[in-house]
Amino acid sequence: MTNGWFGKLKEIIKINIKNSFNIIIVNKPDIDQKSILSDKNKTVELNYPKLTGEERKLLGSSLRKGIKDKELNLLETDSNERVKDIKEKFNLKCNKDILDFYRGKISPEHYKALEASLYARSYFKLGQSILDMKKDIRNKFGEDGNNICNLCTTGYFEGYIKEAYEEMQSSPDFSIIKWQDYFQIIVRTSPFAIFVHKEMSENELSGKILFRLKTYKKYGIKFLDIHGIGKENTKKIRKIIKEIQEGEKIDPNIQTPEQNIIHIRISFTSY
Amino acid sequence: MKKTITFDKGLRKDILNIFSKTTDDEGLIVEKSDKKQKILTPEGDEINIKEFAGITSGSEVFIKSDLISLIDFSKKK
Repeated sequence: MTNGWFGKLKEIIKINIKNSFNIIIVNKPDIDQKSILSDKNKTVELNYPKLTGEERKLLGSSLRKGIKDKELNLLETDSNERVKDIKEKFNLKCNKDILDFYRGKISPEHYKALEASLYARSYFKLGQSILDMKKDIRNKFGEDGNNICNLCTTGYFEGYIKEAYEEMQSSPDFSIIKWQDYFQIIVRTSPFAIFVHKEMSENELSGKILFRLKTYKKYGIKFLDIHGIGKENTKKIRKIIKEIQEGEKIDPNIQTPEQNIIHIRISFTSY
Repeated sequence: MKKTITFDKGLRKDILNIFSKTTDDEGLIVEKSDKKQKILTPEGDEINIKEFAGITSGSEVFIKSDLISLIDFSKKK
């Protein structure tokens, strides 16, 4: 090891530290010390501005060797903190359960977007801004990523979407392709969708649909999707759509991916 | 398990210099010996120095600081 990257590094530090110490290359031009040791935190800081040209060369050679020999990662301090935090958050049961459930059930890109969204959600739940994280998700995964993040922060991955998967899976002609097609519809159209749950009353559903019809018409949005799982919800949705049809000129198209799942699209071309 | 050495944000240029890299006029990381040769992430993305998160081993894999890149890195670390 003495000839390895760590041996080279110790030549600069000149203190007998163990490899288990945290090594931080710091930028503290106002401090005279070249290295600052904290036994308590098992940390040694190398103060880069105070290193001589020769010591900088030695440091460079040590880092290059560590990277070349696959023994070292070099990470900016804030990013290192975030990596630690990501590992911590992904180990929380609430996130682990969701990730375990969707692994292999959605496309790798969607899964990565879900991971990032769950991480963002942990901060959203604390009332912190997640705008930067959402921007990263959108930049990487486009509109699908943005919608997955919204669906995730509002709890649909442990709610409606999971239930829809379980319902489809119980069908004898279930296939992962069929499910992924439906999942894609959910993701793509979620900003223009109402997901009906059993606690949603008929009045609430009717009010939501009428409000959206009015708003969408005003802003030129072309359709509204309504999703529901189970006999009760299917019955409720069909009843309300029928009632609305009596007073509004709408043309609902029932696109049922499975017997117990209902997906109605109301298009506004003739509205 | 690989050891991680961390560095202050203000030393990004110095760290790049150690690995014979620099930046072009737009702030993108390039080879010091050939400024037209941009450094890319494994996904093929260019890296602005502002989003340079570090280097992992193998053949000097450069990492960006966006959330998705750090999640990927956290799995490999």
